[in-house]
Amino acid sequence: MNPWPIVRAFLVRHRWAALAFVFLVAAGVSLAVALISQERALRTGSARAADRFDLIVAAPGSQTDVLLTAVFLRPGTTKLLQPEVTVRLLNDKRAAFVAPIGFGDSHRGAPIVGTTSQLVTHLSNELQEGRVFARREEAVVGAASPMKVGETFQPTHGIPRDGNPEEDADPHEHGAMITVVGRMKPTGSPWDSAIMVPVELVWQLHSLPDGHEEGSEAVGPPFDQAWTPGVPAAVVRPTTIAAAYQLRNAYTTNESMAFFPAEALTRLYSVMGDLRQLMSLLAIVTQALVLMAIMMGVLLLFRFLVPQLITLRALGAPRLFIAAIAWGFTATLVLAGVLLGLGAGYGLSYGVSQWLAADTGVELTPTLASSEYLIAASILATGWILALLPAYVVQRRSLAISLAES
Amino acid sequence: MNPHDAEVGLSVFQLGVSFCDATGDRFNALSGITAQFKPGQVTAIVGPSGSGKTTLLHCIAGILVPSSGETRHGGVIVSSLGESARDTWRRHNCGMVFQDFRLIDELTVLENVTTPALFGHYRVPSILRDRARTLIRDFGLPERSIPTSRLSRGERQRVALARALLMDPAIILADEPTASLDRTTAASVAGTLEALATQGKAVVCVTHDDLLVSRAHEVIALKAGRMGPPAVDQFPGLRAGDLA
Repeated sequence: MNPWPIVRAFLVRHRWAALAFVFLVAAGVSLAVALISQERALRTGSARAADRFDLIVAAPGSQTDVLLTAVFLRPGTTKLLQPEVTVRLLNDKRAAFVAPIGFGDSHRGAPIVGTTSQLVTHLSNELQEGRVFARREEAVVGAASPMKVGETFQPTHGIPRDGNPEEDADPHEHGAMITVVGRMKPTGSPWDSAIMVPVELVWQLHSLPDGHEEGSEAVGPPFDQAWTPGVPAAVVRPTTIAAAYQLRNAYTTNESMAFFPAEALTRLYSVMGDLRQLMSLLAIVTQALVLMAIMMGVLLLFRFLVPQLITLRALGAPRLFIAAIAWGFTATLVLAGVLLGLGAGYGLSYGVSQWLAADTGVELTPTLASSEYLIAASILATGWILALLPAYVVQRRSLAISLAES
Repeated sequence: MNPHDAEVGLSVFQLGVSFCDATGDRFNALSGITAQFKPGQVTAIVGPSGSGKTTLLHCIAGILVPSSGETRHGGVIVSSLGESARDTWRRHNCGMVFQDFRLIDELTVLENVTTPALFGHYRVPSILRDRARTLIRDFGLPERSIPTSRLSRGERQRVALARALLMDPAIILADEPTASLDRTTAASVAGTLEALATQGKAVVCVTHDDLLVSRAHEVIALKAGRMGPPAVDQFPGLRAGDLA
């Protein structure tokens, strides 16, 4: 038996209702798929962005806040490490390098990060263009920065918060003229749109001791104990894994906290995962309700098809053929909805990723993986099983009574 | 004569059908109907509305199981078959035509005509497809792949006839086949049914149309579920001696 030509004809006849059903299923599937895909994209994107930050040391407080400030360059109010702790850390022999991070300035919305050339080289592997800064009035820009090597600019005091100039803290230009001397390779992190300068320049612009004895124009380590201010955070590259744990223990004190970014991210992922599970559950429950509503809708729709169905029965079609038509009709709607939902879900996830990437600088690459296919397959299977309901009801109709009624 | 003495052809014997009405009381829609529908003949079932014409047609088709009596085709007691067997019997032995054609408008002429082949096959066998094409050509229908919704009413009824003939059934059952057609088209359809009888098929028509009645070899007149003489003045074309 082959009910598909009849199914196709009925789909054409009720194309608008069928389209509405397909869009309903697609909407539910796409939300569920986008949610899971986006959560994974966020997880992998943020993990990739934080991958090269081995250990972070900051003043005691929220690890998440420090992570967002130091790795994701989100404006925040983190306390400063005490100068003594900073100096001790900067000169710690267990680290291959310790890069202080200083903030406070920006240029055309891009944050200016004061650090050392070692961190710039470490984050970028090798530069895409030019060289690292060797003087205080030199800068290296991220891969996505619109600035060109050789371009000069004056830093503006203050960092725009989410693009709201009202929240800029005392915006005014510093007098220094900085020249871009290099461009980093893409890192997939907010550092791609940032401007990196020697940390000494940031200290100097903010009238702080600049890490070296008075009058010195030196850049980078070693830093002078007597002339080093506190910093919001420092990125530590330990020499060995053992050293990493030693450093974390050594700087987890009342005066400082040290953590692996992965630790803080894992806690964030845990919250995100719980949220995802809750949202997924809600999406599935909603989808089940949508499917039930569609089954009822299909039953109503098939009332309009009774003359055709009883004609088929009168021509000798067995009940199974009628059931197959009703099942095939509903199953096709669900299948089309699920396939469309998978595509739309990916599209939605891609759109959200683009928006988030533009907003945060974290490169997000949405993908469809087994969990999305699994949820789509679950909805499809549920829909196909529920499609047996209208199939059963439609085939039960008495031929003689239906013919008499029609 | 007990029609069952003739082991060929289609017959009903002492057929009775009763239903419950809305108040739960039983009433007889048909009672004591005995008739034979011979191959090569057109039989018209006539009578006023509610007289049981369509109920009789449904019993003949095996759609309805009678409360008493039996329907027999050749050596098969159709009325005692299970539903699935009756479906199969109907598919192979009956071609049904309805007043309102009951085509699937979104399908082409060829697809509509080959619909009965889908009940038992995934692909329409080439022999049936060829037969469908022959029927379409014989009935003067367009062979192009156009939906039947674009055809005239006369053409659509011819498509329904072609569909009824696909499986080359021995019996053609038509429920008011000319009721929704103009006189010229109705005459054409009546001629087609007569021609089918000439080919040896038993043609049974429920009708109010005197044109069709005038071409019938036999007429069964029903009144309140029982057989009786037709009101001759209602069918001026009725031939004497036509009554079953």
